[in-house]
Amino acid sequence: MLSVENISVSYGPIRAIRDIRLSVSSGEIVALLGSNGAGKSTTLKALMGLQPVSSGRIIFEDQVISGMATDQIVRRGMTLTPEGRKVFAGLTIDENLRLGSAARKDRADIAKTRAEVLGLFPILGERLHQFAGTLSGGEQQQLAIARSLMSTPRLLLLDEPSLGLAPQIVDQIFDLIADLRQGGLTILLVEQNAEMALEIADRGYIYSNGKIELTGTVAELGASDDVANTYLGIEHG
Amino acid sequence: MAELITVLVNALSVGSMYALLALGLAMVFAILGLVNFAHGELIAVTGYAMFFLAFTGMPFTVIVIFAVIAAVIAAILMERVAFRPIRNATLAAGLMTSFALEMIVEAGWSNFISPLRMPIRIPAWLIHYWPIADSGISTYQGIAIILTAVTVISLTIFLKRTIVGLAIRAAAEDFQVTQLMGIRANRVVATAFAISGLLAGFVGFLWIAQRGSVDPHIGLNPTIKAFIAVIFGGVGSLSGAVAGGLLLGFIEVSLRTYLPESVLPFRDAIGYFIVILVLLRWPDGLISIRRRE
Repeated sequence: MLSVENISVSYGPIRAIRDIRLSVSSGEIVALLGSNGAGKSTTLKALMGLQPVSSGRIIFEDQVISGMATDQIVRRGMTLTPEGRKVFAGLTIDENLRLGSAARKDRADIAKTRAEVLGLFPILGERLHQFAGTLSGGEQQQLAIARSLMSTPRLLLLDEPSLGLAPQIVDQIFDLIADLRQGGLTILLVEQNAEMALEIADRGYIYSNGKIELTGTVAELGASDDVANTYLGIEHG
Repeated sequence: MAELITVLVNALSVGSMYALLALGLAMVFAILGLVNFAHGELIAVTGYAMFFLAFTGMPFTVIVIFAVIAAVIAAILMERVAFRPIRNATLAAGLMTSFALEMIVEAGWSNFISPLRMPIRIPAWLIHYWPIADSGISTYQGIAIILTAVTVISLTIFLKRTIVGLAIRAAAEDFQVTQLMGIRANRVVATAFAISGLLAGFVGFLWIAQRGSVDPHIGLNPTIKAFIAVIFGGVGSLSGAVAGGLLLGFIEVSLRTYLPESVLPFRDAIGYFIVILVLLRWPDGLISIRRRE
């Protein structure tokens, strides 16, 4: 579904990521793991056309999308729920959701998606006319994901969905991600919380200093004490 | 009482113009982080369009409509030619570009038209003064107040009801995330510039109706006032820009009316001093985005 071929991204003179190669197949949850500043978020931004790639190609559903404008990529069925949720705080929940479907035309279709999304997140339906800024962190994360779903993506990129949330809220969010995959959505997940990510993912890539150091199935990555200690900060008992 | 009404009418009509200009500036700034010093040139565009269209012999109202359209087109062109190529550049690049544009356009008026004031005939009905009790109001003051009220209300509905309007408000918070909604960045920016051009066109018409002439520097003074109004109201906030503009009008007109003759030359200095005092107390301006969150 998605194939990333040796992309590099620079911020001025600084190379943020180098020769990143990765792929995501339909129906998978793939996790990008590694320490802060290793280049995971930059990879997602590059995929969405928010950061220009200096070399390499990105292919989504057999089409080269590197170099395309962000809105074009969203229209093709891939979107990103950004790090830190980034809901529009001064807009109501209803307005946030309406923007989520801004690229779509068919009103009946949009209404159908909206009903499905509100079914997944009943709390949002109860508060449609509140400002998004008044929601709690967990509710904002739900809104951010709901807003992304309004564009009916086939591939959803999630950047640090657990960031700054209480443990039981994190559990809820991860349950939801698993549910979304059950519903047929393909997910590329960036996560600091490696343990949680490896629980729901099928495969993972481990970043270090802007490069991919290791890749494998969750079983392979999880079984290696070396991986756990060196890259993920997980203590094996 | 009569004097109070006169002050109110004057303050509202002057403040309305500042509010409309400030609103255009604030909208562009909120989305792009661009401080557009060339904004005042849109007033000059309106003025010179009125000047030249007068030779066609068309009725005055038709001339005004075309002149406002000219301002809208000029604003869209301004974005397309000068600002789009530097969209992702630094804040300083935007500042320099808008300064340069302002100077080039102003020099253009001087060199290709005339450095002098060019008279524009304003029909008598527009400057007619309607006495009410001991006070009164002129037609263009009434138009200024009504036009501003209608514009602000329509713009509010536009920003709340339409997808492009929602996108403009969203882009004012976070332009990148707005693009993640599948919204075309260029469309949002062009619409914001077109609106700022429309508002500047309205102000241009009102300003010219008051002065009866156009010159190359016509946009400078109101634009400076509009910048102050934006900062006064709260940078990034659209309602703040309107509030800042209206309040600045009130301060200016009250000082002009009530200050003793001997200190009258210092009225601008005193007015800005009041603005500084307010900003010392509320550094984010009257309506702060940060306070709301």
